[in-house]
Amino acid sequence: MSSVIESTLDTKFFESDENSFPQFLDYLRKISKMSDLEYWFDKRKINNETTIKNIFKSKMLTTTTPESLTTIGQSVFDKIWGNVALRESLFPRANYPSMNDVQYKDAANVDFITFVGNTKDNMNSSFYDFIKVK
Amino acid sequence: MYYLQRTKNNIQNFKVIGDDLLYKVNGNDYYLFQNDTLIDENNYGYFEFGKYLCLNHKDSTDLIDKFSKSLNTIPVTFIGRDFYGDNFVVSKNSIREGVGLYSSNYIICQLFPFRELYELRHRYLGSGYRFENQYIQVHSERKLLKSLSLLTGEYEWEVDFSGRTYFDIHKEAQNVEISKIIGVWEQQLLITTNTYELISIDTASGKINWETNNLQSKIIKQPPYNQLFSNPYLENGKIYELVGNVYYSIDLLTQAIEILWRDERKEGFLSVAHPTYTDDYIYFTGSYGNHLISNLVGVFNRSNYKLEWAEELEIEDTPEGYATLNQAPQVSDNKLYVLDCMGLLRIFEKEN
Repeated sequence: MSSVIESTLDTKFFESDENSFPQFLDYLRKISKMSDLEYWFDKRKINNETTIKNIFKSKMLTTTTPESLTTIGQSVFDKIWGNVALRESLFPRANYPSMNDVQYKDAANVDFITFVGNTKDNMNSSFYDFIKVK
Repeated sequence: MYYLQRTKNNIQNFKVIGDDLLYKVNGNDYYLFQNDTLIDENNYGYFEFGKYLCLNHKDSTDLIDKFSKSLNTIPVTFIGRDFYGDNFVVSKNSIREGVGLYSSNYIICQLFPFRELYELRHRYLGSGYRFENQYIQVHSERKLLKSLSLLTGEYEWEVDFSGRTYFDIHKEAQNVEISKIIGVWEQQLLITTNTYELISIDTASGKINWETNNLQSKIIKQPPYNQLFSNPYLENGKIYELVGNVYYSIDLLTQAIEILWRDERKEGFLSVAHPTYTDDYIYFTGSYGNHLISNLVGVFNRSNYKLEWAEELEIEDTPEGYATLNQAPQVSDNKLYVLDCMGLLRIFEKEN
């Protein structure tokens, strides 16, 4: 089961009067893995996937050192965490040895920052599996 | 068959343990409630293990006998996994090596009475699936399967999938990856891949016994194209799955695929998204017509393949979106519990 969204992404995606970001959060409650969602972007307006990933990164991570999640980033993580299937897809429980549930969530939160920060095409970050360019 | 008895708001997560409802509320990861009573103010996790209710604290675990109510506290984190015989695996001194990748020292601990039995001599990456005294681990970006002996601390075999590729729907070459370990039956370790194939591996030697080829197309003949192995169920030498509008089984001896039931309707067909299996029934959430929003809760009879009961719920359309049912129901003897993504828990009771 997947959902295909045609999109022209720009910074308005994240602005509160735009519907795109709330819609994105809503989809995070419904899908079982990020690749269930396909956001197609127009290659004539967006050079490549890295450009889009960098927009997401700039909105979801602070520019501090070390990076942390912005309010937007935390809301994305919270939606993923509230979706049991999507959580297991991105953060398989077996990858976090002998951790209790709170430690598991804390560790996954740290991993999510790395996921969001991995914006280069050659870097494996399954969070960005929903981004497609044509 | 069921009627809505009551609802509870603001539920973050819950577990039905016996006849008890344990849950946490949104905004507080540490308070644990049991049947509306706060029972733990510093809870780091909770689960059922045999006759015990287990409560994790920061560095310890309480095991409470559900019948005698006796309490046993052990000085390590036990999460109910990696247990075999009388012992379980504890990871110590874990260090984050990368995304979802930790190295640890493994200690084998006896549960009752608690004591450390021995420590394996190396540091190891990751956790795993325990089968008897083997620890089956997925390595190298899910392309390598390794079996660690928990008796010797040595890796005994590995299966490398790194040379395998497939073409996705956009005709781009992608790597085959291990998706999940389903379990073990009669020395067959059963794993699935991101290409929706099933592979049987000999637990002793690591040799591939058999694997399916183009399995998804043999089971899912027409839309909806739900993906296999979302929630497979291993039982008595067969794998069962109710997914989308089809209920099928795969025989692990003969590899015979049997379509047990299919909703053939072109529109409004039953589409199961999140199932919970018991011996006799499958309790599920889903929809009619394969919608992304699940608003249906139901009970499917595993013997006669009949839909015993199904009810479309009034799903709230909030400013944040629809309150979809994005997880499987939980059941007790006479109750069925369904949590929606907005934190509303519906409790149904079986009609007499």
